Amino acid sequence: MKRIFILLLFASLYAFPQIKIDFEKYVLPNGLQVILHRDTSVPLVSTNIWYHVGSAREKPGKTGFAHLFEHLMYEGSENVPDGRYDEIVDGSGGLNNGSTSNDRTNYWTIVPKNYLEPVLWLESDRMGYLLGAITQERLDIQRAVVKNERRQSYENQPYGMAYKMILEAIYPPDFPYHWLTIGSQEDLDSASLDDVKEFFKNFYGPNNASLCIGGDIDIEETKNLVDKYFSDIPTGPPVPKSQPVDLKLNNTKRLILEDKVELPRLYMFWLSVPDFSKDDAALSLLGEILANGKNSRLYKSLVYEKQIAQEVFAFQQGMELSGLFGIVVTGKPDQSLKELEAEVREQLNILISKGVDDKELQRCKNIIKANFLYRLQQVGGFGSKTDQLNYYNVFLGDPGKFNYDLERYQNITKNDIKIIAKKYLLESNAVILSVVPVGRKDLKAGE
Amino acid sequence: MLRVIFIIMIIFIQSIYGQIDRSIEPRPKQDFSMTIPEIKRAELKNGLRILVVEHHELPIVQVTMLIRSGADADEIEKFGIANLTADMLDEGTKSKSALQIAEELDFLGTELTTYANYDATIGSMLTLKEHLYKSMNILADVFLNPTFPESEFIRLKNELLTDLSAKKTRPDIIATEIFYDKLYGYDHPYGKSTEGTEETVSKITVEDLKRFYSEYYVPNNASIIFVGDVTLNEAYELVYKYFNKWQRKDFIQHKLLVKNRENNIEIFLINKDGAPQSQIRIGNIGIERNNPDFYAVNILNQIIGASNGRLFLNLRESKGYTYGAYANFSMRKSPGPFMAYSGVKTEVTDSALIEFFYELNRIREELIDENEFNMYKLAVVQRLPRVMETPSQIASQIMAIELFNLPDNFFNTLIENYKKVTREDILKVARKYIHPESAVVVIVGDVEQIKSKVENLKLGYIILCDEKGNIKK
Repeated sequence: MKRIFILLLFASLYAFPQIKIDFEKYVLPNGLQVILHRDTSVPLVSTNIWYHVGSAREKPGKTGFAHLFEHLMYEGSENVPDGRYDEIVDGSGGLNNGSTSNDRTNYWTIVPKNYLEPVLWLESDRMGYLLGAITQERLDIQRAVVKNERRQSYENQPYGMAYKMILEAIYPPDFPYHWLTIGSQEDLDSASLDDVKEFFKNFYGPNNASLCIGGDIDIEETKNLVDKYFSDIPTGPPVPKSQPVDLKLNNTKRLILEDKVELPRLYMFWLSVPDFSKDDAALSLLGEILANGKNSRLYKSLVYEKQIAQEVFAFQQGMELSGLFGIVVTGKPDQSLKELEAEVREQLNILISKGVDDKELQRCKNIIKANFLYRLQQVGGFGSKTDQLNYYNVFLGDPGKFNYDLERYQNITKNDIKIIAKKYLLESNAVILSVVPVGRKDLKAGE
Repeated sequence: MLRVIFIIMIIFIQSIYGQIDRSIEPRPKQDFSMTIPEIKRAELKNGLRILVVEHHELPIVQVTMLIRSGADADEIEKFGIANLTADMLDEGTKSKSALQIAEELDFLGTELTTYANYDATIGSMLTLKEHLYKSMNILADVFLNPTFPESEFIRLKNELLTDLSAKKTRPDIIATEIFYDKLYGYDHPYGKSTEGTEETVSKITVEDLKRFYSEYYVPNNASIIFVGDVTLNEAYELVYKYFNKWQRKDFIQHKLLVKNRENNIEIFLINKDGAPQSQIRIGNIGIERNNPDFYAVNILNQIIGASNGRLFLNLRESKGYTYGAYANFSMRKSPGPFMAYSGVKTEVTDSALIEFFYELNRIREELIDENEFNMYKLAVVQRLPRVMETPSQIASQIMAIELFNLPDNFFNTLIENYKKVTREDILKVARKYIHPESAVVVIVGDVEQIKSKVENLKLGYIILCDEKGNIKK
């Protein structure tokens, strides 16, 4: 029986099901947080581990470590030969992947249910017994792979270096969001075996991790297996808590990048607020109002009606220590970014002076609600149920925050939108980056 | 036996955990069994087929409208009609404007995307169960009453032309498109991406879309698939209500022919000044979807091209040349491409080519080791639950049954058929369907840095092309 209970509320036409995901959470003596979620709809099991460490724990000059680490985690541990991890997980017909952000690193597998024990063996061994397996040779190969990743996803990618420029302009050099998670080629080159081992010792202990297991599992049997494989891993040093920092941009910064691109693109970024903080949900809704769907304000005006832009995005990116609000508009060929910026500002002014209407706000809330439910279809992988349980657990201390999270959006009023748009966008300084085709500086946005 | 004792100890003696012997790798438990979702069918008098898979975990429904004609029915000179026709469906109907359609869908939280691939035109809709009725109303409206307004067409066509032009800055996309072009030739639909090219799209008019729509969007060429919180009765009633008046009409079923190449390797080099990476594509024409070798070829593909396959292990894990190296057989109504691909560091372009050819030849020449074979085979055999978990996944699997005339019990026998494949079968299909000796090779990179090194390999003719694949004199 599938353990998701949906209570339909028929209060009004667009009332929404309360989401109830059954789970059990407990903590091992070594500090590892464990979340179990049973869902027997298909014979799959998914493990999902979040380490509460990302590139924000790196130091200037030693950037890219958290992500480099993500790679090393797949190269074998003391009892698992190099290559065996992928042989077992991929060889089972399953999938595995990981990702690194500013604030956390996650690792997941999806395997047939009979592979639960082998996977727990793999995951526990690399949590507890990795150091002895990291050799200079393995480090060098993965350093080369990561440098290739940087070439492919950043340097050789149109607009690939834009985000780096924005982070460097908007965050002070000593603030840990100043650099890309992939790091710089120089820092990757100079990463020593000792540096890497030190980073692991400090941040990859069970006390800084959250393990979620979901799928067709027997709860008692799974608890026993978790105990068997994870309880002997020694606790790591305590990890100091990160605190959000109030930052202010003292003046608007204008940047330009000539790149191998066909279309000019305008990036407008403001400092906003951390994830789950007071204005986070309202800012997310503002992003929807501005740029999700044909009827959103910027899309409708720039792409649909005036047809001076090819595409537009607007989003709140709440992180642990800070947040960013971004508007990204790709112009038509030869389009002046100055005109695009003026149009964006005009639309923001209209929104702030006249406010939003009821139907518009409701539409965006409905999209967010439906997406909440659609996301619960998969038990494993990025954005799945197990990933979401860990997300709430790591950042809110409680895996069961689904409805709390949903309600944050439903409670936003028209007036809230107006107030936050004024406060964070109109009355704050921005970093404005123009990316233009080589030789076309004339297209840049400007005063 | 030892394992059994061990597990018993674990259950009764908790304190043993601190002393487990980690050097012993635990084995997976016995095979799992999976219930294959049952497909229920009905058909309207006009020929529209209805397929339903009940899946009641969440109050959502995936509805997929399938027209069994796509870019395979396109005209070469105006390639991209199938794609634009699909794209225009929600841009205006007899009773609603493009903005009204979008507003209604968004307000319901319903997601609808319409597109064409080589084999079909697809309208894929995900809706909350409570809004199924209203969402179906919109789906039927866009499929039955599109008006293809001229102003919306011009906007969409311009957007597409701009996208196609912007693609020229993506070395990975350039490499793949030139590979298709060189493999199939200008006159074959598989030689182009389904979106078409700047040249072909600029020739398309709204009349072309209307003609394509009226020729191929007919109920006897369509299936509608429901997966989710819905029963056959509910689905039938909805389809009857909205689609019963759709008129049956004769249409042309296209069967594309392909011919494989002559016996020599051609290497097409496309310059990208100062590129830190070379994008490499190597391959030949592969197989069609309902080829009886389907099972062996899928395992072959896992061995050579999957994310832990031989190419990946060699070029990424052991050499560090790349972030990834893969290969893939695209299976369509007619034989699609087999393509091995990677983006590699510029300075190792020639070394990477050596490894690509080494692996493509090795799989044809040596019988694969039994353990290695079993690992890759198991991965394919046990993949099924992972690709049939959600309503959208199930719907896209079932689409294959409708498009390639597979039996309804295809997925029930899939695992058994995979299990029958032997190592000798792999050698046989590798020889039959992987042809390094006559491969098309495309490399997009810094020609000045790589040309002489590639020449020194003496693999085959080197031909310089521009970014559209035109051969330079």
